[in-house]
Amino acid sequence: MVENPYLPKLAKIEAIKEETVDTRTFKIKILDEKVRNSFNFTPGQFVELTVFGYGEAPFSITSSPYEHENFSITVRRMGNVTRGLFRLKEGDIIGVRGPFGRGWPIEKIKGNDILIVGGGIGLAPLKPLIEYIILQRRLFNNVILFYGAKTPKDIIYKELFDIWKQYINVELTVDFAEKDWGGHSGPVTVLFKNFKLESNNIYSVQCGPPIMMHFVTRQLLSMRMEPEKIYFSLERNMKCGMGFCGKCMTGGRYVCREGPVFNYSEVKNFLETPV
Amino acid sequence: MPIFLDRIMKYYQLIGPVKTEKGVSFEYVSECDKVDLDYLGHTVLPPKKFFFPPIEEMFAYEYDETGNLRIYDFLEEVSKGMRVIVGVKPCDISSLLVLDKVFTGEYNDPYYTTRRNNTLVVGLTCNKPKEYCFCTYVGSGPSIKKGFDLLLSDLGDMYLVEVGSEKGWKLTKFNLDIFNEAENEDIKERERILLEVEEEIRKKGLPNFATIDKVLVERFLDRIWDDYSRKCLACGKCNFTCPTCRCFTISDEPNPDLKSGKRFRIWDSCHFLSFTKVASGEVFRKDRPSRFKQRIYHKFVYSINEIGSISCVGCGRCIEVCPAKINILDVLKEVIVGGKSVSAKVS
Amino acid sequence: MNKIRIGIFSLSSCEGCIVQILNLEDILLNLLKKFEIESRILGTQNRTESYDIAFVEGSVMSIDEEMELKKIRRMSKFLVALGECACHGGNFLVRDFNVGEILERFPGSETWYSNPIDRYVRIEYYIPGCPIDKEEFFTVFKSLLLEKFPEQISNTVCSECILKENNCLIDKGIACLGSITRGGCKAICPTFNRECYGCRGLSDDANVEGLLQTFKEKNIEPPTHLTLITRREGRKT
Repeated sequence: MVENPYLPKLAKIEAIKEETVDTRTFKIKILDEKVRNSFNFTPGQFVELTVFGYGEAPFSITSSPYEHENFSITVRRMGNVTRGLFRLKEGDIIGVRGPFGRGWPIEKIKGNDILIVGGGIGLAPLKPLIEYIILQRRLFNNVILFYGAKTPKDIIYKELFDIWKQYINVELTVDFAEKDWGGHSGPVTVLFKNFKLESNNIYSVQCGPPIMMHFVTRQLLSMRMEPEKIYFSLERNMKCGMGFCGKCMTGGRYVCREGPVFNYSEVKNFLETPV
Repeated sequence: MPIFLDRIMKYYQLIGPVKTEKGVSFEYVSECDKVDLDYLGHTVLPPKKFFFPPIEEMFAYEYDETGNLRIYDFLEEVSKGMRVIVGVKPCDISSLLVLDKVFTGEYNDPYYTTRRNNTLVVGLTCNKPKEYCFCTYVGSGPSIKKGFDLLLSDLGDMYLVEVGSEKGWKLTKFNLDIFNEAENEDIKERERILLEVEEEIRKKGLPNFATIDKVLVERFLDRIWDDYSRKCLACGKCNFTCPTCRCFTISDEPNPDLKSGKRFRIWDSCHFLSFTKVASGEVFRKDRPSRFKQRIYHKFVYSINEIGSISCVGCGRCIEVCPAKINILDVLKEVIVGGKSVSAKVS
Repeated sequence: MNKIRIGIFSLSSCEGCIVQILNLEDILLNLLKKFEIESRILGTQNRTESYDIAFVEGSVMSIDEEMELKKIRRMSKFLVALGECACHGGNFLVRDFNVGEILERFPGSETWYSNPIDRYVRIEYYIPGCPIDKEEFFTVFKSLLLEKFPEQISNTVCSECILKENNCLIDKGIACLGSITRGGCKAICPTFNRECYGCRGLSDDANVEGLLQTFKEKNIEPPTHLTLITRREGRKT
């Protein structure tokens, strides 16, 4: 019989880590050894995760591509599937399909400067890219990370920033600062004040709420960054992950199969402009 | 013909156009004299429902005695038994060819392809178009060159049968006593009838759809869409009756024990507000015009990139069932003849 | 095993929705082993302190009912509006009456009201319909036990009607509201040649003006209660 790509592969929750009040990172291990060994992904790709009885939803993979036994996803409690996921404990069984989609253009950006812009939980799909860059640091030039969150409490991967800072430039901002917050405040675009485009050999990758990606893209375009070097990851209702269900279609493209990572020169001619 | 169908039923599950109190619809046939091969035009729902059902159970999950989660794939049920579907008009055969391309490629949709492989298609050329038929304009009727195992043509006192595949050939081989070799005159008679049908549809004087995609791309921001979407009731009937529409959503339903359950896929319509909704509540096609356009642009623009052709087969079902009687041909005609002023400029 | 406490309450209504629940008898008997169900109309007067899920049927027609409802809200984790009366105030039930005439003949009845329960309290979920669809009720019930909120059905009655391959009633000149009404009823009325009168409320982004235009073009008299339905447009189902 034909292999059924709709069937989730069983997996176990290995560990759960609290990131913020409503966000957790789940470390997941696929049970079947063969399936586990053939599970390779590019940073930026996503999985369809099943919480049995609750349904299935797409989540970006957030672990390093060099981690083989497990992979991780970071989840904010939003809909039914995430609500179901938050009820689970370590050792509980879930289902996984994928990885799906097209990830970040790693080969293209090698040897260049890279500006990474993340907003809120949008840092999740960028994390594996950052970790890839750090592990292959000499393959990349200047790397800058701009990250914005709503409040200091909403910052995810808090403990990682100090490690990352040893390898790349990191700038943080929050929309609503509290007293003991010494850093920037305002939307992530405030971080662009001191940022200058020094060469043409720079790529930007971003993921965040649609409104953030809209303004960051406008900002980069106004700084004359080439449209084909501005990459972002789109969030859509990706039900099947394979371009069948039609729900993620945007401007005639299947975000699940042809994306979720696109560059601006690809999407600017979409009839439905996504950013 | 009843003898032939009767023999088919001995070895296959038979599906065909069956008279009901509401009209004619494709159903599983229990008595072959209920099959109505004289049905006019098309059924309300296309035969698509036998390859891609409105609600489909995909798999069940449950915990076994040892406490391990098991998944039971309903695909195994789907792959059991062979079926023959008779009386499929060329427009509907064309739509299956469209769906074939959609559901295969980088990934294969096993629920659809298994049913396709399980089912022989016995087509039926069209002898009389219905009011809204326009198959000749999109090259999908009144006859067809491929996509069938057998193709019947009603010549009045007999059927001309064209063999389209090895499987179809086998169907006739076991029934040689009721088949005679066709004569040239019969083939000519079929051509004559088909020409008549073509002529009748041509009288409708529709524009050429050859470059419709380019015209549509230019008119994406036209006022036409606002006007039509004020009329459109967004009820989704056009999607569900369309033989090439195939969007769906997936959902889980737990059993009463809450530990086991099933996953379904259900037809969905791009006209519904919830179609593009993501978990955060964000909806990507909020306004009615954008949803009204999605069906038309998917069929006539995006589809060309996706499968190499438009995905409208000219059956006219969407026109017939629309409660507001929006005629897609009027829409396209209006687009082609220049539409109205452009309400906004492309940035 | 901890029992899950379910409350079923009835305000002003015909109690037809509760009958629908009782129609689930086979399943209910099994479930009763797991759940404690309390309902005033079912006879038990001994109130428990709290409910995991409370279903409220009927609309609010008096201050007493308003107080009662607020009390139920305080005691419940999830509150579900059950049926047209609870969801929308049962306005459509007066569809056969001429409201103007009532006011004329009974002056002072302006103070009469029949309000949906979400005018007074927060609601976790709506199960619309007159009466409710028992299968939908059961699906919602199971989901809530998992703390899952099933998507509020967003399709139209029309889209369910076409699956039954029915012929369109509007084409026959009948004022059917299926195109603007939230689905979930499996188009039971049109399937039996009865027009949809909108008991499940408006669908998401229902195009009422468009339907009125269609009625006009076809010389169909719109049903009088349509104005009652549209008046509450903009409100949640």
